[in-house]
Amino acid sequence: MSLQVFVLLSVTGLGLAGVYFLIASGLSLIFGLMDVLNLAHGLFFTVGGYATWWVMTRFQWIESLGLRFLVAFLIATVLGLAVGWATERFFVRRFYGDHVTQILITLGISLAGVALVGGWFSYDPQTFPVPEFMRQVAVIAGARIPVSRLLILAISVVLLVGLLAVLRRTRHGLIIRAGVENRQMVQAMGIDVAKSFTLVFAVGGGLAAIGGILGGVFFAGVTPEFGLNMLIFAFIVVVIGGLGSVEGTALSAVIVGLTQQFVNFFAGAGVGDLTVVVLLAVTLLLRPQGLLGEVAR
Amino acid sequence: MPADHARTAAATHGPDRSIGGAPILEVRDLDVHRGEAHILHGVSFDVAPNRVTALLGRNGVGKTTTLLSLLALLPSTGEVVFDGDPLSGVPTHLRVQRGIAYVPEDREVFSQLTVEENLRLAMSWEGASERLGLVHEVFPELKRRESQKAGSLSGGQQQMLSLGRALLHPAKLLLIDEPTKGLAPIVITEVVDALQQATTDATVLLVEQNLRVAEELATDAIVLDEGVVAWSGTMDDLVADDERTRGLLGVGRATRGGAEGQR
Ligand SMILES: Nc1ncnc2c1ncn2[C@@H]1O[C@H](COP(=O)(O)OP(=O)(O)OP(=O)(O)O)[C@@H](O)[C@H]1O
Ligand SMILES: [Mg+2]
Repeated sequence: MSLQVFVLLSVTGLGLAGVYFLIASGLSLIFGLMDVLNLAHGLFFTVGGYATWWVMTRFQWIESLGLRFLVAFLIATVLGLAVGWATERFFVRRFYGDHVTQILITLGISLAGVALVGGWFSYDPQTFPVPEFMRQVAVIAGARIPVSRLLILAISVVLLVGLLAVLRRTRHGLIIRAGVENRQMVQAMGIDVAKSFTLVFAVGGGLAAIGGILGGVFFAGVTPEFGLNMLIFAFIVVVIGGLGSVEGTALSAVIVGLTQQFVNFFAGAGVGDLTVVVLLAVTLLLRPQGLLGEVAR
Repeated sequence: MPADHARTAAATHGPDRSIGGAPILEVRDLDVHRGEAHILHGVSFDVAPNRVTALLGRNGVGKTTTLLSLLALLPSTGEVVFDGDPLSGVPTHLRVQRGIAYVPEDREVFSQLTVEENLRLAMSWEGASERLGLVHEVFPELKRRESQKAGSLSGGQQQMLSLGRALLHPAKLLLIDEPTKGLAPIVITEVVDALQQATTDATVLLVEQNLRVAEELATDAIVLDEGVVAWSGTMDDLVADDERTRGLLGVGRATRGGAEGQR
């Protein structure tokens, strides 16, 4: 393998890892803190992608594509936060502890989301223009890397660092980390843990929406099933990384993203996806709590 | 439940009110099921302020269950009045905010958080900064190990952290579940000394298997048996009758082990 190919595959794999991380981190925290398997999480991702497509194609009065993308980014993020918040507030909150109902409700939201987006905008893939600078290539170690990949990677890293800073340095973060370990004891210290639930859902929704924005750029378009397809890989990333661990999710996203890219390149498209499933099976056999997961109580 | 029944229950089972004043906690007809099992069949007792009341009984009789119900960590029926206000329908975090602090049976420190972070979770209480000074005085180990992950502390150190974090709370009532469980005799001595220091004038409901320790810390005693309060009175009265103690707790003066011999 030439160095150029190696660099290109690495950057592409890491870009994909960034997208995985953004959707998986919220999923992991939601499961870790609330024991909720949030099947609606893919919808948050789709919302981000479609909001971006919508703004990029409809807001033509903003002539600069760069500025339009910035506006799209902000609107998509805020929508993701709002949809995440509303999902917890109006649906999930009523069914804490009732896992079967939660799965049915969030699956329902997820499928309704696909139908709604598809019915409203059509089921065809939609593409949108991206700013000029993203379409350029940067030459790194002889490899021609699309700037968009580097941007995706950079935004993901910034959000990872930001999320870790919030978890490690703020009181909300402290409560969330404690709650992931032992929710009852957090309550027994006089803290209203339900407030953290809503917060984590909103932030998870915002991060997944940003994942949807970047995913739309990465895959050069969006479809209504976009988020649902990503959700499958996001779950694999979460389980390999360890439920509730943001660091584990990041590590696992990198492993899954790189594995997929390299295997797909050398063994043929599709084999990479299969390899990821094998990775999942191996993790479950050897380390069921995930790479950085704790055995929760 | 009729009010006069409550009064009778209090008069027969409640500790001597003339010494402690009006009870801070009144429990009436507490009834709890766990899964299929009916654990508490109408437990009634009072806890007097500014003293330590021991909640005793054989293994599995429902002592921990009682504390969990008082905190609404388990569903229950019956009436619980705390500091004059009924607690029914009040969720766990608000009960704690009203002034109940809790030291759980298995310490339940947050193992992934450092010692300092564990304590910081409890630092939002009024006056917590001054209390932190006291906690560090009573448990200097917690100061020394501030940045250590709580999960890597020894059992005794975890117990100190669990106690320390409860002591940051300006609580009107401390619920402490078996603070000496699973600790080596020398560590028990240390924890008991610290508890004695920290709970002077505090109101405590203490679950304790070690009768010697209970005797050292508590003035009043409540004994659970077969899902109800089987006996209540002063600790001195309880241990004065060896046969009764043996009958209720399965241990007597002659057989019980304790911290004393290890000093
Ligand atoms: N989750 C549960 N489901 C069903 N039964 C339970 C559950 N937890 C505890 N029990 C039962 O409830 C009873 C009371 O338990 P509890 O822990 O309150 O006893 P305890 O007096 O604190 O005992 P110990 O002195 O051993 O701590 C026991 O018989 C126990 O087996
Ligand atoms: Mg117990």
